[in-house]
Amino acid sequence: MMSTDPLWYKDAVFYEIPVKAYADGNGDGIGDFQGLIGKLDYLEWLGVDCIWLLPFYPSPLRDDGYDVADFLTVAEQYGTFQDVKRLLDEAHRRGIRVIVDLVLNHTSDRHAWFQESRQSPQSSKRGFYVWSETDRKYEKARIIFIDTEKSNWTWDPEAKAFYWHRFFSHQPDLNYANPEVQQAMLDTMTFWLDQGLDGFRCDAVPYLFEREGTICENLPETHDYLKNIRRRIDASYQGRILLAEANQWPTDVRPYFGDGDEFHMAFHFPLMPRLYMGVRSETRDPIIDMFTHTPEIPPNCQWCLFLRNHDELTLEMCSGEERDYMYYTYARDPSMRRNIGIGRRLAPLLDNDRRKIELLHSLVFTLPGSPIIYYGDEIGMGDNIKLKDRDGVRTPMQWTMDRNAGFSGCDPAQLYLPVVADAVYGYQAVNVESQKEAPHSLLQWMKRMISVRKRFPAFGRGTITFLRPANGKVLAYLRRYDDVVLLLVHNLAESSQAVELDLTAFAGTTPMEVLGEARFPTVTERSYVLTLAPYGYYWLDLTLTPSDGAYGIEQMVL
Amino acid sequence: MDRLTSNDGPLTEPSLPDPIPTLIERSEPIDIVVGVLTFNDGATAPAAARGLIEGFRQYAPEKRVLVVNCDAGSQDGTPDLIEHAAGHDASFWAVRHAVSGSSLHVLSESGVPGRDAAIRLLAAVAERLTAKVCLIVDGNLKSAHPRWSELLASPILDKGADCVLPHFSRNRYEGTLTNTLLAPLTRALYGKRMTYHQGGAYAFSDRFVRSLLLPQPWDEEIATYGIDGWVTTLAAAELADVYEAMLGPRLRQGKPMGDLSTIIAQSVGCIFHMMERYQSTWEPVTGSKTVPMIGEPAGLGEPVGALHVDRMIHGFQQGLRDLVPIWQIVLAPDTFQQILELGIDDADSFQFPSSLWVQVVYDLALAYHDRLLHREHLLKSLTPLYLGHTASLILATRALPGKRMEEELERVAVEYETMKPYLIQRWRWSDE
Repeated sequence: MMSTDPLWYKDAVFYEIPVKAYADGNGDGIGDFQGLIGKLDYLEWLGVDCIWLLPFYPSPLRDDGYDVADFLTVAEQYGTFQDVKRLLDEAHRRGIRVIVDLVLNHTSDRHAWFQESRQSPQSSKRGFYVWSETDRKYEKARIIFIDTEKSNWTWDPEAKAFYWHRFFSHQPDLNYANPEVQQAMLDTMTFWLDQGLDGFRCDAVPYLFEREGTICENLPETHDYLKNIRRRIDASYQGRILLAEANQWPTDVRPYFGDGDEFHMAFHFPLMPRLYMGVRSETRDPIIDMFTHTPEIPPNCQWCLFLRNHDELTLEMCSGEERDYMYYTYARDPSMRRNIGIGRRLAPLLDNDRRKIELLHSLVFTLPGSPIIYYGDEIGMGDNIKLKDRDGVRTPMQWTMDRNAGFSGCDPAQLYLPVVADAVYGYQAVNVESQKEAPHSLLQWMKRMISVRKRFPAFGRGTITFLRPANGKVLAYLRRYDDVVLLLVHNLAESSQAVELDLTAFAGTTPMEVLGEARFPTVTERSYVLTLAPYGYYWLDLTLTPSDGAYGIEQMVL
Repeated sequence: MDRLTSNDGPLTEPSLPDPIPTLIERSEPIDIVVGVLTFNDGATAPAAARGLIEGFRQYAPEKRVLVVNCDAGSQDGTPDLIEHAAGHDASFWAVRHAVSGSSLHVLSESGVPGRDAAIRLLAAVAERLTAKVCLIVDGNLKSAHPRWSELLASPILDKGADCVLPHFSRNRYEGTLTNTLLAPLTRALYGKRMTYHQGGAYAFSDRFVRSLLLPQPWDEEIATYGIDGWVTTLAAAELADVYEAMLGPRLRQGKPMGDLSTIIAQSVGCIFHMMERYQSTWEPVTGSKTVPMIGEPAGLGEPVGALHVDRMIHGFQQGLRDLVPIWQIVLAPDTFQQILELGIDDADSFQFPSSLWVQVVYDLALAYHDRLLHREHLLKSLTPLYLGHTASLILATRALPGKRMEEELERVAVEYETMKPYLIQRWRWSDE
């Protein structure tokens, strides 16, 4: 049963899936909806509340589907429109919601709108894109893909004009100054919502509008349009969400929540590299600093927290010094670097150290926000840095130790990308089937953590208070929601650590370790001492229970 | 009326550890056995033992006194320290009583594991020595005083009493479970207005000692964790000639007693258990009478720290969220409905009427009798209800003089007596 709570996304665990990489149902070497439907039982077993599908629209695939050629149909290699509807039905039947990527900012240059637009200045679609006779406009706008693009303008010989693009040159930006574009994209959204989709992860939202003299990011007109979308959705659909992809500082992302009337959710991009920094530098400072710089958001909004996704581990929101540190510590081999980031999966980034993998997951599961798991990270899948662009982290899901990792029955040469087959992360060693059988596998651990997380709305809805013990290698914070108080303690160091916490406000409480339901010593007026194993963590429930010595009468009731 | 006739049955003396049998054989006649129960009580037990010896030297110098230290395996040299403190004014034996693996985890009021075994051992020693009085004192008491010797022993030696139970000076909210459940329920059941102050110090006549050595309850779990309740209930139910000695405050060297719900489950479970055994005794009893008292009120009770009424109410409300399925089973529909209605009250106006509290206790006693649930779960489900009633009691009385508090507790006790037919009627139905 799906939750009927309109704020369901505040408690949800999300799971990111590229359809082509998950499961191949028709044996052509490319993942598809048929295959994905067959894996819904697995996702339900894991405890996933909502899956996020990467673009599945027709596309020349020059940007892995983010170059959309038609917003209203399904790419042939993934299945049919009916397959999508069956996926929605089957997912909903299992209590799983489905959101999909919607690329608002641009289309592929193969999109019919662009083809028509470029034909002549008189074309009815000419105004759908941003054309110019000069490439000297909007010069304050930065170039995002600096390793492939030299300018945000590209000359189109057919149109005999420059067109504007913030990303690849084959992805012309839509012209949101044109009301017809605004309406067309609204219609696109309502079309999919009518099919039963539960929302959209909106790609590259800061760049919808352009205005001379600005950096063409986060403009007020962008927010006006997004609010209009939200109004339309709220008026006609229940429980649907908009998730913003805005790789910006939290203060810059904050306006995308509006007064709770714009996006429901937004990714917290800058936090992610700082989690890695905190663990590698064995200090909590980068993580706490990031929350110090994170503004309050409206109560009906939520941050999305993640460790990895289908892109590189982006370092755009890092200073030069921080970026150097990240490259030095996580990507010394230049072939691991992509654009401004690192093209590696979680497990290789963390040296396949189970303790660190658990620690970082514990952080994204307990810090304020809803976690998103990137497919395959629940089993510690590896990557293939020899593949081009970001394909190294988009290899087939490893289901079994059989041919093609159980992903497809096709000839291995037919696979859209080779499966990871190295000695450490290869599918023979790392796969769902074997980890389901092993009670203490990473997969089983993830399932358990997800299950425990769901017991405590405080993780998704509670406030956070950081404790500041003298030992800076330990990150400890309280999450509170209603009467529930949780204490989360993380050892960011590779050595055992002891920490003294000031919990005098909870004197008399007997903390309960929620993963093992073990009772810890009762909190007194003195410092509360905990010892943590290397990269160890505790989830402790400080909520008063009738058995706690907190009433003042315990030792004299008789 | 003397009902201590059941001690004509076979006694089950525990096997006495060496060298006790030999010491008994060689012992001169003993009038008074003073048992000191200890477990790492080197800081308090020697002074307590010395004080009692001094007390007997003053009160009954002609009596031959034997101090027996029953120790649970102290690591701080407690037995040696007591022996040293006893000096040559009394005979001294030290014995290490049996502590089963499980009882290590059961901390009694005295903090002595295996307390039941220790009491049984002392009873056996006293019986074999044909002592007139067996006095038992907890080694962790800081307030033991020489005058206790006379207060505890004289009703037996001078007035023919069978059992002398302690009556301690207490602060207003000390012993809330005792005052609102254990004592008034015992009073309503057996007709004796005993304070039901458990542990600390007892004195038993030779006849009562023999009844302590009857097979029950030693083979039952109740003995492991409810020996004090068992002794007190035995005194009440067997209609022995019971006295209470006003011993002043009971100040103890602190030891953790376990969590609240366990304390409640064990102490209330003991009374409920004994209700089954003594059904024919308590059913016909109506009204109640005071028990004779010796001594004068003296001193204040143990200091009471801050009372967190809001947390108690929260504990009750959490019970409303978590335990409704259990309460629905164990409480009568009318009781359950009234409990649900309490959840609507805000903290300031929270009221848990005593009549409802008594109804709750009787319902739980019936559910225990009928085995409606696993008994430990059933008993622990009382904890939030106890917190709710205690919070209500504190809210109603904290601004009032101490005398009014006593009046309120008397009202609770009368409520138990008044509502006893409610219990009897349902108990009979369940037996039919």
